Amino acid sequence: MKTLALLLAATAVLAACSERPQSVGDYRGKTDAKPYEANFGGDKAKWEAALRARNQNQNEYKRAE
Amino acid sequence: MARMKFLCDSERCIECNGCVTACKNEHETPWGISRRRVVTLGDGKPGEKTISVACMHCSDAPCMAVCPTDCFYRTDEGVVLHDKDLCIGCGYCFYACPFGAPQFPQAGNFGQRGKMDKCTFCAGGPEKDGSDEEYKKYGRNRLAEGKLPLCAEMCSTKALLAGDADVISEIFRERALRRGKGGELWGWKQAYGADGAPEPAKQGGKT
Repeated sequence: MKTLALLLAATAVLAACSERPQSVGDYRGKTDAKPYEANFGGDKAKWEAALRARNQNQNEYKRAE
Repeated sequence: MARMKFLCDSERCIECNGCVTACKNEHETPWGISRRRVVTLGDGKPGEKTISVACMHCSDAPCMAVCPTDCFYRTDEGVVLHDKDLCIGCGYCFYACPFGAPQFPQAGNFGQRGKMDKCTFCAGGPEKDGSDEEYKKYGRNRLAEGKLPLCAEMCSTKALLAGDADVISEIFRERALRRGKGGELWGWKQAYGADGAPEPAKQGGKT
C-alpha cells in the first residue's frame, strides 16, 4: 500500500517536470501598430473609407458608369 | 471590414509580369528574391492559363503552424506577417507553404539561407509604420497609407485583385457572370477554405 502511494506521488511530482506548453502560433516577436495609427491619427473609420474607395477602383464596371 | 485577400482571375491575366515588376520596385527586394511571380498552368497545351502567385495570407496558414520560432502573426485584417528578428532561416515555412511564397536570400559566401522574405500585402512588418527600418526589412507599408498592394493596383487588366474579401469576390462574381465563363479561382479554396470561396458563376450565362 505504501509502495503504491509512493508510486502515485512520484508520478504526480514527475508529471510537473514534463515539457513546457507548446501551443501553435503563439507569436513571440515585436508588437505591430495598427495600420490606421501612423497616417490616419487612429481614425479606423477614415482608414477603412480610404481602402473601400481604393477597392472600388478595381471594378471597371463601376469606374465606367 | 472583412479580411484582406488576393484573387487572380486567370481569364484576364496576360502574363505581362507587371505585378512582379511593381512589387520588386516598390519594396526594392534583393537580387534573387521575388515575392510575386507569374506561373503558367498547362504550358503549351490548349487552354493554358497564367496566374500571379504570392503569399495568399491563408486563413489557416501552414507557415505559422510549422515555424519553430513562432515568428508569424496575423493582423486584424487577416494579413500574415512575420518578425525577421526572430526568423532563423530554417526553411520549414517554405516546405509547408502550398504556394511557394517564402523566399530566402543568400547570406554569406557559402550559400547559407538568410532570413525569410515574403509578400506582406504591402503592410510592412513589426517596426514603426513608415520608418526606414520597416522599409529595409519588410518593404513599403502601403496599407498604413490607405492604399492597396501595388501589384493589384498596377495590374493592367485587373486580373489581380486585392483587398476586402467581400468586395473583390463580388467584383469577380459580377465579372464572371457577365462573361459567362471562368468562374473558377485557382488557389482560393486552398488558401481560404471552402467557406471563403465566392459563389461560382453559372456557365453559359452570357447576356
